[in-house]
Amino acid sequence: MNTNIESNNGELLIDEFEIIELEDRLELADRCNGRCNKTSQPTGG
Amino acid sequence: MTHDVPHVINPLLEVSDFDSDAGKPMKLCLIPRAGGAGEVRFALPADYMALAREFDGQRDTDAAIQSFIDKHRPERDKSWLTRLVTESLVPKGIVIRADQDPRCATSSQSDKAFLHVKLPIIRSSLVEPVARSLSFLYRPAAMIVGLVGFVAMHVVVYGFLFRGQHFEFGELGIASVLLLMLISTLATICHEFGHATAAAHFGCRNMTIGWGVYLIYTVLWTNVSDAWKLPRKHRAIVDIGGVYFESFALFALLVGYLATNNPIFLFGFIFVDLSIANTFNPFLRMDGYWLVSDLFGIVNLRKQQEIWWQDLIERILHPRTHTSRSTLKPMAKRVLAVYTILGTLFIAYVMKTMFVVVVLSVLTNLPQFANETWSKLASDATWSNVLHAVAETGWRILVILGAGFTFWNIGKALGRMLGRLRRVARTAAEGA
Repeated sequence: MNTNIESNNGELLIDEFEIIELEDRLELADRCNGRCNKTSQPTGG
Repeated sequence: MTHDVPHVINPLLEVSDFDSDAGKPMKLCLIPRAGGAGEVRFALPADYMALAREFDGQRDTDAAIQSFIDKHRPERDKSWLTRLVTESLVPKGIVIRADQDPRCATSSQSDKAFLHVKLPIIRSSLVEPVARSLSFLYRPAAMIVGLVGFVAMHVVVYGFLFRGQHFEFGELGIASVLLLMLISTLATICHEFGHATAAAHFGCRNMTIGWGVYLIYTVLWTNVSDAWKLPRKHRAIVDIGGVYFESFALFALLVGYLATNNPIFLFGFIFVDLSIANTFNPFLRMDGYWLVSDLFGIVNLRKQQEIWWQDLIERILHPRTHTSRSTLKPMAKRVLAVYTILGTLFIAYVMKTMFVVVVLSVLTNLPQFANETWSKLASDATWSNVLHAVAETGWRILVILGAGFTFWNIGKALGRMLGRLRRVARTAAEGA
């Protein structure tokens, strides 16, 4: 029996015993991908 | 777990001090994942490690816990400590059966973390040599020069070069737009190497750079999970390292403008600046989020917000008997309260804006748009008109899908949270 299987459930990051599974540190940066093209804004049509 | 099976503290456990604003000393435990792909990190009260060390592979659980009680006289009773071992330390792989593979940790997080799409594009074996070779840029003298240069560049650009200039973004041609996208992407790559280099400077490993989709944004990301082992001020430097390196891209754009007098470089400067401003938004999981988390020592900020709501509900329902679930110090609790209230207002504002744009504008105008577009194409079906119609239809579809997707996700998250809050309220009512 594998005793170390938890449900794959993001709700368990902090448990009742104050043990915290640290969230993955992904440092994001947004990139301009066409939204910098003002011509694609609504034109009222 | 049965009590007569000998257990042992995981021999592959890496333990270090953990810097947070929790009310008691904490340790960081790193355990290899089952299957060997990476690690899972846990922060836990330091005294739990003394309990875990009582598991020597010889004694059974009862005897190990009794030995801990005899030595340390803990506040908690034996049954609570037994639950701690059986319901948390063992399932997490901190304590394991003596005959068990120690590479056994399983994570409660999705492989994609908080992204909808997560694709690694530059492996750590490539990122790390580059990051290490640039790590001299994180020496204090270099950072001071960088900060002075950052301020000076902005004074020059916004104080002198922009003065009297008139820029119309709508007048940019397709070549200029593509060039701006290229500039934005290169600046973002600089940004990510800034995080990786800061992490490498402080001795972190396994930094991977990738591409992903976060909410409705396409993003680049750097995995700096190893930075959890650093003191908070070093983690904060990793957080701002992206903007630090992005300022090198700003410098290149300024030099490009001064050398060629081509205004596209100034447009690029503004775009990169806007992206920097966006990255400091603390309510999205961008640099600002990690900065708030690290500066104030509030770990897993998103989850702590939920605990704050649970505490609030219990306090309202049972003001006299209420005991706080949060283990943060008073200052961090106050910061969390302000962050949670402002964050809730921010989400409400985003949802309202999306509702106004998508439902009140795009959706309600859709029949009129379809009629006009169809009439135009029927009377004058030139390539230019067809392409224009495709572009106009395309962004509307993207906006509707993106908004629908975001509403769905926020709705699901709210539904889950409300369900948990209802359980808390019910439990509190039963205990009253």
